[in-house]
Amino acid sequence: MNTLTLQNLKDIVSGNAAAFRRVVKLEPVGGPGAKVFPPTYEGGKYATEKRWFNGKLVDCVLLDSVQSQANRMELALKEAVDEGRISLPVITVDFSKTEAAFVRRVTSLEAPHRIADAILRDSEWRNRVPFRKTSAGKALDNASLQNATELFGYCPTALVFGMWYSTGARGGLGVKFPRAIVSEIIGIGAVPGQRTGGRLDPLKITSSAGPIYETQDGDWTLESQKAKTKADKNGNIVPTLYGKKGKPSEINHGNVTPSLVVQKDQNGNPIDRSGTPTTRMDEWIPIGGFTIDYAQQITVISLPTLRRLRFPVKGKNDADTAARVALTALALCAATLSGEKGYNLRSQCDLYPPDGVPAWEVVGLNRTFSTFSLDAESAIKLFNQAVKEAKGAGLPWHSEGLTLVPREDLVALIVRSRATSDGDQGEEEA
Amino acid sequence: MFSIAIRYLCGWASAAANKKEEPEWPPHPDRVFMALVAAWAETGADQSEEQCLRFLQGLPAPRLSASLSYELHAASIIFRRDLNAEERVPVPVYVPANGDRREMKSPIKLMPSERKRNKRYFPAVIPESDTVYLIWPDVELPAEHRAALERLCAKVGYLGDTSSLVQMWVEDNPPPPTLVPTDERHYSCRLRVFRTLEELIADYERDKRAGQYLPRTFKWGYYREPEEKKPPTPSSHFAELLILRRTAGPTLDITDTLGLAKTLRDAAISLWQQRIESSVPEWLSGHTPSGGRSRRENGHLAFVALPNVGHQHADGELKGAALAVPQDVTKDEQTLLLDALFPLDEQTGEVRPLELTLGRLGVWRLEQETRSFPRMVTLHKPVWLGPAERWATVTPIVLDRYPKNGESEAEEMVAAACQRIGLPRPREVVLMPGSLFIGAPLANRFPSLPKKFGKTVDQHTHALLIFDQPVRGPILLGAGRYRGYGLCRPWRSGGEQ
Repeated sequence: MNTLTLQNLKDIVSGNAAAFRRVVKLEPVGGPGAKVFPPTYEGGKYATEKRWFNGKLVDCVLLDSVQSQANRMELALKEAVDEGRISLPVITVDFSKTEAAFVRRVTSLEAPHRIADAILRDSEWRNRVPFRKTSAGKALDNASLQNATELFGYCPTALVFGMWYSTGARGGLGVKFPRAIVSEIIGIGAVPGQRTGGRLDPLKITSSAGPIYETQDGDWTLESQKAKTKADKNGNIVPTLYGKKGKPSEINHGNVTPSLVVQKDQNGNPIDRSGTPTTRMDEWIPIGGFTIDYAQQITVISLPTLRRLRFPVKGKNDADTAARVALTALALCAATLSGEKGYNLRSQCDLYPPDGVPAWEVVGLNRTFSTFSLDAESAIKLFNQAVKEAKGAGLPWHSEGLTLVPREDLVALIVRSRATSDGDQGEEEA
Repeated sequence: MFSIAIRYLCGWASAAANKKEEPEWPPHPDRVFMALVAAWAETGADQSEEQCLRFLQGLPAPRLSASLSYELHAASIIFRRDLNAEERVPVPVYVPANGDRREMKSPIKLMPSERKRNKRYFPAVIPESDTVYLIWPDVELPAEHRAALERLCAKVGYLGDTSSLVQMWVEDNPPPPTLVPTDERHYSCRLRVFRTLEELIADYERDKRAGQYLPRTFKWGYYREPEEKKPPTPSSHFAELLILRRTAGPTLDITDTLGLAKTLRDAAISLWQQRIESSVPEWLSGHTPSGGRSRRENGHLAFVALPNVGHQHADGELKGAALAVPQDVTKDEQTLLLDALFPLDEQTGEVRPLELTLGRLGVWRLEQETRSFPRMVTLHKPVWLGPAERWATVTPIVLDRYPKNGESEAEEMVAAACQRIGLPRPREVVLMPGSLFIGAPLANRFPSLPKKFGKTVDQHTHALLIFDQPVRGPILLGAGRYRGYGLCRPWRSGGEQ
């Protein structure tokens, strides 16, 4: 099979093909039939659906969403940058020399809204120049689909993974770059399973060994006189039990009877399918992962989306193709590097491609495909060549990066709020 | 003939309907036009492309070829009940906010792991076929516009959500349409059709001035499935089932069927008299002008309650109602009735709901189910229409008389009841006290018909009917068929979709 060359890529990007597409067949590392644990959503639910395969509907479960895949690809790029395998413009906010050093660094590859993120907005460059006033900030302010040249130089990943600049002067009408790469992983032939949980205490602490009291500083004690006190319903001052009943299990000691892991309501009572608490075990809803026949990752890179972007250099549009080729190579590189890292999606959801990684298809009109193989090293080589050509065409490429420091008041506020944030989860919607 | 083809490259289509948590399917023509206009405006506003867009906006509403069978993408529904859930519940996804720092109480929440998360929906469908066509069968694409349209199509990368990547092109040989434009708003789904370039530009300029997206006015068109050319499936003399969705009101049980059907019938007759004319036609009232019992060959209008039955967690609650229309009632006559029940509010352009007063229980509000995506399976028309070879009762059949000679006489009465509504004689009739559908109670638990009919609960029976060939519903059998009794639903062994 042909390896994708820079010339191939140029022909494809400047032609009328619609997309690059790759479908990777995956299996649990435990082999077919081994259980996988998909992500859970609100209320401990799994995302299931039916899909058509060869005219038949098959039960499927979502193993990794589009958004999650985008984050994994960006992290794969970040690793490649850190290892010096690729050169990529990245904007970093460095917390290490501030009081909030525990935050370390946040880069435009990790910030949720990429270069348009509020963390960058609230940071400064060198002599207290606010990010918005730096050349990178101005590039963001002035970016449009017709002129993405400067943004290309500072944050090309925003053009590939998409970005909505909603915190600028134009608010919700700020520039939007649609994502050009979409990837997701689904489990096919999904059958829900059951799981049990329990704990056998090697210390053999029994529940009658209590009661446990809570001290003033939130620790526990067996001595009632050291406990903090409170008034009971009759107004008597009594020591405070730890947790609800002061049992050793409240401080994570003792046995936990093995039981089925099931969906529960806010009070910890198992619920039935209508959401009502029930004591009938046959009505409980297990949270026990799935067995699947196999999993499938579909990655699509949209070429029309990239062709919509224009990159004027000195008033001329001669560099458009070079920039689009570089962005396509960046997308291919991100997907390939992310695949190279493996498919360890989360605890108990390890997948691998048993037949290796297949070729990329080029989706053209009338479904005439051509296919190209691309391993990680070739993807990196291709990307570096494409970047070189883009630079040659006069496009900016600030691979030296830009390092910002957080504003002082931001640091102070982070430090102050960290001290109080432990119990402060109330305003979260989730 | 020419068409615009849209292929969903990931196999699914993500776009929100008017209600943000519900998916839009099929893609509305206006969405496609907007994508083309955006492609034109964002790539230099070429003049030949503009002329092509003006040509398109002047065309009649296109026919559509889009899979009418589709599933919901997992990102838009996460099962609350089981894999065959009755109610498909959209589930929110929480995405990190990029909000104003002033909104945040503690700035540590700016850090990616601590970020406040906003509730969003990513509704999406997985159609059986990944390609959709907008078809103009009677229009030739002039040569001067073809190149421009091809260029515009090639510039569209996504439709709806940005994750919904597509490929678009001009196709001269599209498949036959699955949806065609119609004037009849009552029997169709409502889709947004092309606005004009001027309107879109005006909206764009207005939003820019306002600094935010303002609500916009859409143009609506109605679509229905094309008439079938296949040899007709045997069907009952009830030709059409008009589904009404309960949008507000008290909880009613399947055993309240009679009461609901009566209230609905009274409302239909009185609204006809108020809004159409004082004399009520025989097909609606079931009575001749002189007050005698109607002897119409195809029967008269039946009022049906639609219960939630037939799956693991069915509870028999009534989710809506329906009107089963005899086949010789013309579309015009039906339209008159529906206009009377659901008048169009001239000022708002919206349809007013029907309110049924249920005594002390309160008021049921009903709307016509014209959404292309009914959230409840109970309100899905094919669930009640089949076609299928095997049908079973949801509400009991009321036998014409007490069967003195045992079961065989009763079976004969049910077989005759099938023929009375125009169906072929079933190959087999199996009678039983209970329904095969979960959620439907025993036959004798349903209240008997009003006294004037002279029937008792001893004459109630559930049944399974097996025909020699698939037949089409709606099927309503026995003496209570005009009041929601004897309602059947296709029975598929080994589970029910």
